[in-house]
Amino acid sequence: MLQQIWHLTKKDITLNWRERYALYSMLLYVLSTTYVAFLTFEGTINERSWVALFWIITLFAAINASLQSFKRELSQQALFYYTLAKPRAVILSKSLYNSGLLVVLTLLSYGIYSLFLGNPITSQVSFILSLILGSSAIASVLTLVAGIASKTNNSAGLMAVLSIPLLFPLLLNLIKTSQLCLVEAPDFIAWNQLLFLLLLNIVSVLLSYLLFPYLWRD
Amino acid sequence: MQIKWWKILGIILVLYSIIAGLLMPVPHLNILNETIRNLYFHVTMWFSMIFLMLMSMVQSVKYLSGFDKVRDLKAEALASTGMFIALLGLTTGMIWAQFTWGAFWVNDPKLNGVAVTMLIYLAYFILRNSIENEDAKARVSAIYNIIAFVMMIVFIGVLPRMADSLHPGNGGNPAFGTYDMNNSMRMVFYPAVIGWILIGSWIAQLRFRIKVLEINKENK
Repeated sequence: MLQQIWHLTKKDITLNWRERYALYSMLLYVLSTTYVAFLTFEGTINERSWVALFWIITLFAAINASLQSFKRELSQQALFYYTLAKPRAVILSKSLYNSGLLVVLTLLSYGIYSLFLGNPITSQVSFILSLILGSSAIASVLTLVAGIASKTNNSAGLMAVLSIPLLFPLLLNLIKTSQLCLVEAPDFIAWNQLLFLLLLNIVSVLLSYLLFPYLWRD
Repeated sequence: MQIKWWKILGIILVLYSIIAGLLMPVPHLNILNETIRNLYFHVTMWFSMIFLMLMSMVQSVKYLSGFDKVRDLKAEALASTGMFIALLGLTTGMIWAQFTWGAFWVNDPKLNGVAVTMLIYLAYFILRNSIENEDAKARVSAIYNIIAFVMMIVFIGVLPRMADSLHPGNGGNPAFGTYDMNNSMRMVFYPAVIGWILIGSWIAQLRFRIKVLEINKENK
């Protein structure tokens, strides 16, 4: 099982690295939306808007990124994978890959965003921890939803409809954590919020683990 | 046609809660005044909704363990009845909010929770309608239904505890134990909860039966 997860994750990394355009398009998306925000606010953005805008950009980048995740699996190759790997290994490797991708993407977009719109965050440690936990939770929810949406005729449209309400508590919590990070001291750690994010990570991975085998079979 | 005892009990309890709820004495509290009677009609809706959504999730789990088509129809009927009850709860809540907080909609964790819960279940119905293959539809929507319920519990069970709210008993316990209820109010409130749960289940059962009749008619 662990070996299967490892191999599948490695396969995803290699394949996606070979077709880097998807990765670049996500970076370009972050870059262009941030630049639009920069032009709109003309450098004078208040802290609340800074936080809100950052998470909106991240959220849509995440949705775009995970739309790709079941693109290959649903062609004829699906049958091939079906004979090779356990469905649970497939979803766990997907979650792992997407979490990794999204953590990297979020950290990069945090850098880009700070470059253009300044960085009002005072307690960086908490904020970066919440970025990592938050984006991996977003990724694991989105991976499962992408699996669900890929079974429908209109997966791109349905993806947003299905996932945004599900991501709402996560987003609310992230925004709250970020607002704490705006005012607290540099060595402040938002334990409650981070614990909640970790809990959501566990819940969403557990749900994927339990439910994906039913989704996979046809 | 036989009427089951629980349906009669449901009618009696709801009728009792309407009559007693409007006539029995209530404590006089500031701001709330007589609107406190809305407790019997607003809070009970949420109990009923959560019960129906729980049953809907149970049916979905059963569907996934046996792939019995009937389970899927039951899950849908229960979820749509739950949505209807939620709509009633929202309406009574909005009217109450207008008279006590001064606005129909305020920024409050519970209201956010409800709004998002309703969005999730609306997404569930959209998902159902966007899959043509009957088996895939039942399977995928059962999976989504389970996720939806778990997330709903996070919204209305965990998140409100982490924030302050305009609702009584906050920021802490979102349940009913901390309401400023005296014993005469409890005498109406608890029967009303049970009554609305029973009536909700009855509506869901009727919806399910109508659906079965429609399907049988189509297949003829």
